Amino acid sequence: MWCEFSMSAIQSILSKPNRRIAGLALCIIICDQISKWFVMRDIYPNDEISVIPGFFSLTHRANTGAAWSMFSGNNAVLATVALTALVVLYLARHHFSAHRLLGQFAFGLIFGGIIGNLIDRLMPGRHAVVDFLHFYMARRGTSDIFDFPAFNVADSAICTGVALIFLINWKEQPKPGANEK
Amino acid sequence: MSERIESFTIEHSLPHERLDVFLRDRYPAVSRGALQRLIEQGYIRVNGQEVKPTHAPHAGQQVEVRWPDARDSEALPEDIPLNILFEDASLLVVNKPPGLVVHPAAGHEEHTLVNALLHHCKGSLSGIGGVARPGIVHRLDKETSGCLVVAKNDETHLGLARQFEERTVQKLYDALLLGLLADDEGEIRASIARHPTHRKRMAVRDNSESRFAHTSYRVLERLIHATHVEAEIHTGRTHQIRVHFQFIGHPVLGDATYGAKANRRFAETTGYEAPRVLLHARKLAFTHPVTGKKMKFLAPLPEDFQAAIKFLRP
Repeated sequence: MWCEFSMSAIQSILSKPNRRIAGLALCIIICDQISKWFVMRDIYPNDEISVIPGFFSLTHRANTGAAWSMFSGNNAVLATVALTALVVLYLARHHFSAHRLLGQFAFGLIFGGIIGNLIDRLMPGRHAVVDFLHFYMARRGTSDIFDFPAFNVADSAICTGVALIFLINWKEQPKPGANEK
Repeated sequence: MSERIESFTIEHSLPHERLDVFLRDRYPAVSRGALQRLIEQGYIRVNGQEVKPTHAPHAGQQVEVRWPDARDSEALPEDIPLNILFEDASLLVVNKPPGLVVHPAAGHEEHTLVNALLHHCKGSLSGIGGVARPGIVHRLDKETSGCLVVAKNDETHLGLARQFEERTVQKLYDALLLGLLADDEGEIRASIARHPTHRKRMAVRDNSESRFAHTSYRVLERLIHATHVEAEIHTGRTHQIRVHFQFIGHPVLGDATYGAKANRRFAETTGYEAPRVLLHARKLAFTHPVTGKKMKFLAPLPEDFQAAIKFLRP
């Protein structure tokens, strides 16, 4: 019975484009917030837990800035920017192929990611984005070969979504005489 | 390496500029302070004459810059006596005296532990730390005394470095702190990064460069306006113990960097002037990277430390 119920619920979500976007966004938000919950619970702030020595570790950083810690300390402004971006992207989604399945997938990722980080910025007591995935390449001695700033699931979703949008729109070359909308 | 000499003619008169600022534009990699010194010492001359750094550049003047040789970065052996707690073919553990800097750095280029080790080990030291830090796997502050392990070859160095990184080395310190600690024991978990304004200091901060630091402590004895604690550090940040105890309001006795005011007040109240930062690395324990044996080393409390405790006993 539950099997049938969930089957029909899933079918209902997958039936309409807006619902598909929302459904995926919700999945991203849940995965993102759960991962951050574990990080805040089990990793001390600024600590590093080695996973692949010299390349990948789990950390716990509170970032009040944007990518690469730009505009650090401007959490409220960035939260507003994120909210604005969300609204604008939602309204303009059809310009970026939201009518196609792949486009819906991409937007699900983007909206899920934006909201995931927005929750961090708005959460009382947090007011900063929790980043925990740290990739780097260590060198014996002082400096590293590269040190990518720590990020999270939401960031990954946004980047993947944006990359997909670029891909879709690059592939969509207007053909002469075709009925493209 | 021979000196490099460059000369050029000034194109435009800049009556309101200084020579050092003008040259800073031309040699952006050199600091203005360094250029000032070169001018004052005559390495930079205008029309063959020594001038002041405030000299205003005039069109047609010839500037000659002699870049001095880079100083040797290799350290030289010095016959400084060492208190050795243990030595074998792979490593040695010294009881570092207070006041000895571990390795050469700006301002302290000679009379360091490295110089003493180069003499004692006759060159048999690991090379991973570079020519300036042979054998050095970890450090103690200049004024801190106690156990320090040195690697005699690269294999041992890597084995020890890995244990430090994995936080399996046990590091126990004795410290005399200002004030009376309320709790008998405690944990301090506070990230440490460079101080925002003082270049040579660290501070408890939470920014993108902060690194996690963890110190535990337990009170050994309560003295007059001071506490004798045993501190165990689980991470090895620069100045960790000093910064952490300053953070909880009880800087280390004798620490002018992290507790200047408090130490002055203490001296006035008790009449006791600490001879140095009263911090001693009493115990160091790790696994021998070559033999696999668990080893532990103890450095007894030095004289000055014991004298301080005796003086401050109620």
